[in-house]
Amino acid sequence: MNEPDLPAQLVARFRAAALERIERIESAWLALTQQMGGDEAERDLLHDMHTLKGEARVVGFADVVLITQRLEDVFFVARRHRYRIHEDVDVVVTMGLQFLRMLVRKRAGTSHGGIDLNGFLAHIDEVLSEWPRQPEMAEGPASTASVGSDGAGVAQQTRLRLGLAATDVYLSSIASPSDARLRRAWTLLASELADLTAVQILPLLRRYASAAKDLAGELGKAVEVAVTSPDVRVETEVLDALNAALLHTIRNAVDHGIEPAQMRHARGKPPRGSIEIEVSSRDDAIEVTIRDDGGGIDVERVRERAVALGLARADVAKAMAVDDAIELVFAPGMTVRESASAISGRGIGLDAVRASIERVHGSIRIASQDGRGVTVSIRFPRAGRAIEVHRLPSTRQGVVLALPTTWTLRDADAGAAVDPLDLLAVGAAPGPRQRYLVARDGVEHALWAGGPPSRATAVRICPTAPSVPAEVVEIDSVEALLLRPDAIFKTPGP
Amino acid sequence: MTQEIPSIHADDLHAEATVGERTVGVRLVGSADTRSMKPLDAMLDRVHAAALERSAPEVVVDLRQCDFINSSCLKSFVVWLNRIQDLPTEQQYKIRFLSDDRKHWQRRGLGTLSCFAVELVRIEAEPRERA
Repeated sequence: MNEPDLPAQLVARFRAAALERIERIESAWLALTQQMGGDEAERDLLHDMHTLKGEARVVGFADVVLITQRLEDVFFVARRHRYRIHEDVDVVVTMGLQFLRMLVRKRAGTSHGGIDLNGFLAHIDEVLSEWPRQPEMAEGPASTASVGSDGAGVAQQTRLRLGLAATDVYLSSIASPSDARLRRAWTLLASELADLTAVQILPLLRRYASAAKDLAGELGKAVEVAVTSPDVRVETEVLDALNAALLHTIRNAVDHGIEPAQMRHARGKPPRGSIEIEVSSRDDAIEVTIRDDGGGIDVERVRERAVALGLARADVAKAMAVDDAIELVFAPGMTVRESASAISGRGIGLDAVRASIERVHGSIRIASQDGRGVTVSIRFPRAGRAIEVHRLPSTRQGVVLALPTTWTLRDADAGAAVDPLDLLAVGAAPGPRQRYLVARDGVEHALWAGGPPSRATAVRICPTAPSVPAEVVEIDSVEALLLRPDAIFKTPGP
Repeated sequence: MTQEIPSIHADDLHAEATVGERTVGVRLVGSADTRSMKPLDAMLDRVHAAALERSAPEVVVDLRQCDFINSSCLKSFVVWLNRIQDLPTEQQYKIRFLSDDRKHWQRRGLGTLSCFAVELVRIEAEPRERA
């Protein structure tokens, strides 16, 4: 710890205030993880941690700044998971707060038996990178042991149960359109479900943009960070994997990629480094690209380290094409630096980052241009939120139906038919109607609809299990009832 | 002379300390959660006193049969460690944990604990079984 030449009184005041803040953070964390803390506890937690970081920076407690930054990263993800967290997360936060206490109290010249700051940061980074696969707490306080339970499965089941409840409320609200309470309940449930199933990507990117500038400032570098992203939502598991990737990529870009101003000047670059984070959204995938204009990957150094670490034979490494040599950075245990830095530390490796992305069926690749920077591209498939449907009006004004395009739909001039709204106990409305045949694998059902179908893409906003007759989807931001013919038509149609 | 250190016989946790001429050991069996905190704190206080009294070079903590220690109880170990850190260097003693590496919580919990004072904490892990 390098205490700058500050009046002892000021440092003593920082110490006293910091210990009080840590106490408050600990209480707020306990309340939130035991599901007993409200907005106020969350405000205290985030505000006190942020202030502690700022004050530590002012008095030059750099190690306190590093731990607070990492704990803020953890809080950010925990908040998204509504503080239902794995015991591992609780351990690193609780121990992290104790670590902060120790660092705040520590005075120059005293022996503490070897503080391993980088080792501790590595534990936090590991927990962050493992988050997508960590079982979460299903319910109840974090202090209850939950090790070994399949929390990820529980979370999915919880979503499906909530989806079923929300669908019921939606059906009741369209059956009783004058009941404003039902409509409000549906809106609230739909919003909660949206938060549970898919979250906005932009706040995470903005947070990293801000953190990158902070880190650069601490390293005496100047960095511009530009974020370009449409309003994209991804599943929470995808966001957690992206979080781990951004953590690694941006810290590396700032710490090792962007050169100090003098070196940039000598290389004819503007003094301010640049990091661009760009998100593009396609029908089938979302791609996040992080580009820096730093020195690029030292490919020869990668070859040397891979050989030194026993990851590749010398002759093989030497003969590798540049792209293949760059791939070596993803090898387990690979690190280009022989010693850890405080910022990038010796925390999660790129192998862990790739593993966390692959767990959500994504991919990551790195391209580098010597002296011109690194581009990291992360691609995630749009996992099942969007589905192709036949959209068709129902017999009730304002109620839209949808059928998966895995079923064919055609006009039927004659014969018996049922109105799906009757089957869903919503109540059909009298008026013009048209008979359609829904068919798949030799099974046919006849139904009444209010008008001709059209093809559309629906977004699942309220997923239910395949055995449930319907769920609510959105088509062009309008709610629609997605019907599952197998489940809704209990008996084969005509 | 230190009195005998009382064992803990709580619902889920059994803990006993053994004190020799220059040795002190603790063995935890079962699970330690928030309910076990107070008795555990009291026991670690006495263990600390016994170690100092005997000028023990180390205290051995056997967690091999310990199924779980939650974060609050891990804090008790941090407090103990802080007390050792606060001692003059010549009085500081080491804590050697006997752990079971197959238990993930032990790797994470003890791993973070050792970062507080790598020279004072030693972890001896039983090897993980091959997959």
